[in-house]
Amino acid sequence: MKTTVTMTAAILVAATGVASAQERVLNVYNWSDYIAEDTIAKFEEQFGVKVNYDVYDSNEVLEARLFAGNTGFDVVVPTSDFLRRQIGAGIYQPLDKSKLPNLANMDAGLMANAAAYDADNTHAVVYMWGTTGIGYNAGKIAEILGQDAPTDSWSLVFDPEIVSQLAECGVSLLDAPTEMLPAAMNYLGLDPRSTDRADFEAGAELLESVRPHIRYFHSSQYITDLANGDTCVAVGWSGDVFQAQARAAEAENGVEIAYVIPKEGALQWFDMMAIPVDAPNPDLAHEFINFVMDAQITADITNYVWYANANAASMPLVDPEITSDPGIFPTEEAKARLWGAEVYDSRTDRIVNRLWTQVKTGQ
Amino acid sequence: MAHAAARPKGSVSDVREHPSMTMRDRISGALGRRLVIGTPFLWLLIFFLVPFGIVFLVSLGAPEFGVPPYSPAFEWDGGVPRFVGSFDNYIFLTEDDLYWIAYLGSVKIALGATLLCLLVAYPMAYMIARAEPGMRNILLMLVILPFWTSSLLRIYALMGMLRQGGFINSALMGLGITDAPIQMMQTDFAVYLTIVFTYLPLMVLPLYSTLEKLDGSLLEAAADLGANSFQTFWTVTLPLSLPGILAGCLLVFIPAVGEFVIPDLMGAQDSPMIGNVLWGEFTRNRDWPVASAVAIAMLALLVIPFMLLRNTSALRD
Amino acid sequence: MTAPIIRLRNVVKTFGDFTAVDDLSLDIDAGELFCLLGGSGSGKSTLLRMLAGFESPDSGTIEIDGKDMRGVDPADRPVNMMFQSYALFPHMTVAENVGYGLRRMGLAKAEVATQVAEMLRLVKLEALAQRKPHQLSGGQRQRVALARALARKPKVLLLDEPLSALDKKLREDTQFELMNIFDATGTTFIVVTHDQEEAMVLATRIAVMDAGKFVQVDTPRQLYEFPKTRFVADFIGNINLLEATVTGPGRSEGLAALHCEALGAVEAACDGEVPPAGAHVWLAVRPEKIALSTDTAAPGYDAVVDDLGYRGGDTQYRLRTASGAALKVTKPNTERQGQRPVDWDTPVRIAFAPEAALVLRQ
Ligand SMILES: Nc1ncnc2c1ncn2[C@@H]1O[C@H](COP(=O)(O)OP(=O)(O)OP(=O)(O)O)[C@@H](O)[C@H]1O
Ligand SMILES: [Mg+2]
Repeated sequence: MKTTVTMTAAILVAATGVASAQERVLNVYNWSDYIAEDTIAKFEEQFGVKVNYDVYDSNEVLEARLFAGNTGFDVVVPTSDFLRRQIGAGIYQPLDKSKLPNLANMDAGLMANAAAYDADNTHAVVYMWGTTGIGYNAGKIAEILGQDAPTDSWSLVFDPEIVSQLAECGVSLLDAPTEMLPAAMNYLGLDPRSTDRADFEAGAELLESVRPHIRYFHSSQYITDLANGDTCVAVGWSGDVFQAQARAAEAENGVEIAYVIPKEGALQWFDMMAIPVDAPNPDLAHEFINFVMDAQITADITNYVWYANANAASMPLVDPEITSDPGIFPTEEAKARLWGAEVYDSRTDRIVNRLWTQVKTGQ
Repeated sequence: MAHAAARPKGSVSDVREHPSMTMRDRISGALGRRLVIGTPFLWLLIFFLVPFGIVFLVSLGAPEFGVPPYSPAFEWDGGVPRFVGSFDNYIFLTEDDLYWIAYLGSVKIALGATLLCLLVAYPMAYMIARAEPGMRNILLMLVILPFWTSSLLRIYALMGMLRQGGFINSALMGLGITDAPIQMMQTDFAVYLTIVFTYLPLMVLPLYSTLEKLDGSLLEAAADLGANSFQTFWTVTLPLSLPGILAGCLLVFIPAVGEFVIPDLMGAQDSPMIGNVLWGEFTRNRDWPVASAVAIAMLALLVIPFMLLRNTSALRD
Repeated sequence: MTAPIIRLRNVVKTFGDFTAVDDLSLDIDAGELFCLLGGSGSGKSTLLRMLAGFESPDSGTIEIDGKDMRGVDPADRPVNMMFQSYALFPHMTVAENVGYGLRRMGLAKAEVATQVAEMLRLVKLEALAQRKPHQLSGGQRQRVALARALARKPKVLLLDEPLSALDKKLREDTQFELMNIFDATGTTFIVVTHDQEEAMVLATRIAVMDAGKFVQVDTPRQLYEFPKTRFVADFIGNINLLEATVTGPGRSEGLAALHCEALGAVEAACDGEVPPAGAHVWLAVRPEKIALSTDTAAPGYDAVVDDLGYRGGDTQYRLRTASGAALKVTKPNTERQGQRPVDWDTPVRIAFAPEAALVLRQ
């Protein structure tokens, strides 16, 4: 679940040339900034093909294009809960596992988790996975809340007492109702996977109570703002917060960003590689998926984007700084408190989104 | 129209008097004229009416799980179309205040931004129209230039200016005017500023073109008849630039009502906007029919007042 | 008489390094219909615009009604202008256009309405009060512009080429209408024109301008009969100009005896002193003042008809004298004749009274 930072990259990639007639072409549609710099070049070289690599920055954009039909994409990377709904709509073709020998590299446990959205992993394999937790400016938080600030808890954003002290410094939430409402419900001790209207309303009420102290709701702006020290706390996606951390370090601006999976638990999501039914080149799509599951290739991507992968064989090749970070690869204890996103029916979607508008605007 | 071009230079008016014009000339002239008038209509048909019709049909369907994600409004019953859609989606819009509130909120912001745009653009256009002809083109270029970059890039550039550690705050603090950064991002100020900045050329250009055509001797006549510069502006310049003002306001207001990128990126999202509501219906609720109904309703609410306005004498003269 | 209504002293106006108005001094009396006549670019409009206050002189003074106009806005001058293009406000009706200047004076609505009605009556446009300018003919627009400029009852009305946008026939009718209005209002008119006939018809006095200077300022008759220079003589009407040398005084007072290449010995009137013998001068004779006879025994000079142009009211003859010089002669066609009395290549005799010819020194 990566979001865009540089639009130009997307434009440049989209503009890359048209392949000659005989040349085999693969069309990949992935999240922006979500692959190692050399992955595509290596694939093109190794298979003697041309890759059209296009990017998006929200599941909604991907889904709208898929539902409109005739996308021409061979490989897309939806997030698990979206994947499940799209499978239901008949958008994906089953994978031919005989063409995916590198499936053996995958972590059985994580693939089993992902199978909650796609029985037997019939249609998709895990690309990267991550959590929705909290990124914060360690120095500023200590300054405002003191050394015993609850930086390991959702109370950093859900306790009005605490958030109000941070408001001046800047608090942002993801503009993602299906992630924020369950997090609030979980904080209240309710089941984050509940689809009970009353539970959603309770979550919304909690969010409304902190709304006056929230500067904005956005799913990518916080990366820059955290890195620059313009905001102090942001609910965000793990890899994005790490990106903010890296940027701050690079800028040497004295801002120190940390990512935490709060002790109450957090949403765990999987971004999945899948092949649309109308893919023009399904054979090559299989080759690409198999290629990405190569231990070295996956390790390269993780080392570059700082998201966890589900590839057991790649672990020894991943930077120890990453493997040892509990924000990326959580401890067993933390893992136990992660939950997967529930897939809502359209009525529930409407309830959730309507409540979200109410939270944001008071209407 | 090759025909008209072949005729030695002559204005439309002397066509009527030309004795050697045959019946055939006249007929093909009329055909040509009809073609010239017809082309914009064709354009309108292809790029507006057809998409509008499609969206309208979608709005009569119901959301469905699949590709496309809505049920059709018509079914083919042995080669005869049978209407199976409904206006439920429009009724639904009236059941939740949100849509009204969002629409009014958008109109409010769009009106405010349009007014601000006008206030900023008018003096600019006036100055450019009064500048030396050589200078005029340079100034016009400067107005149009930002349009050549993606609006998103311009928005990001403004973010860089407005954010806490951005250019403006650094300058203010560097000059000792303020000692803490001012929160400008995620405020209404940022939203209005960005809309004005983004749409300014759309306001300046029509204003410029009417002001540039304004006959200087009219201003002299007003002065000669005892008007001071304010009266001259109020009684001559302003009324005569009214078509430019209306054109500019429409060009800014209409897209500004549907604007959702700017409030989303620059604002605090604390008031609902119709553009965001539509986007939410389309993507989050995956309800293309309701999204289409919102779009059609928004268009109707926007277009009807302007159709009425068009019939007032102000525009006709 | 009282002090002049307009008084120019050494007025200069330059645009960059181009001098449009060059050191002009002039007095215009109240009640005059004064014409500024000159070719294109001679500085007429520039002078008028300085009077109206749209341009300010680089040096020199302009007084209107005894007051120095330096630094006085157009709005505050006791003059109004009728623009060449009329400059009617397109968004206002005829009545609103005419009332514009009155409203600026802060008059009450009813008062404005009465005065507008009065003005419209003056220019015979009562019926069109509610029309917009684009619904009027050229002549009607011209009258609206006139009414609007007169509405404030200015001491001086400035008219820049008031009739140039009208066709010839309408222009002639309008000339007389303009004079009637001039008589009715008693306002001083200053009219710019490049049409010498129009100036002659309208003006009490005419200033002939050339290159930013006044060449001659006089009544129309004086300008025609006694032009001071060849430029004026040539500019106003038609004239024959022949080089000549003074041989001495003429037979009577005010006449000079000349030797002229084209004709031989002639006598002509002098406007002022007779130039000394040997002076190089020009003999100026208007074509209609030359008598033409087919009787080869008649007194005068020999000539041959080179060319002739029938113009309806008169016929213009182009003659060649014995020495080969060209001369123009016009004769009114007083009778309807089946046959021309004088045809191509006819030998003729020409003659003119010495008083009808003029000696020009420059
Ligand atoms: N604003 C100006 N800038 C530069 N030159 C000017 C300007 N106004 C007038 N001139 C010049 O001054 C000269 C006199 O102009 P003016 O308009 O007074 O001529 P005019 O006698 O009215 O001629 P016309 O009969 O063609 O109207 C012209 O050569 C003109 O080019
Ligand atoms: Mg002129």
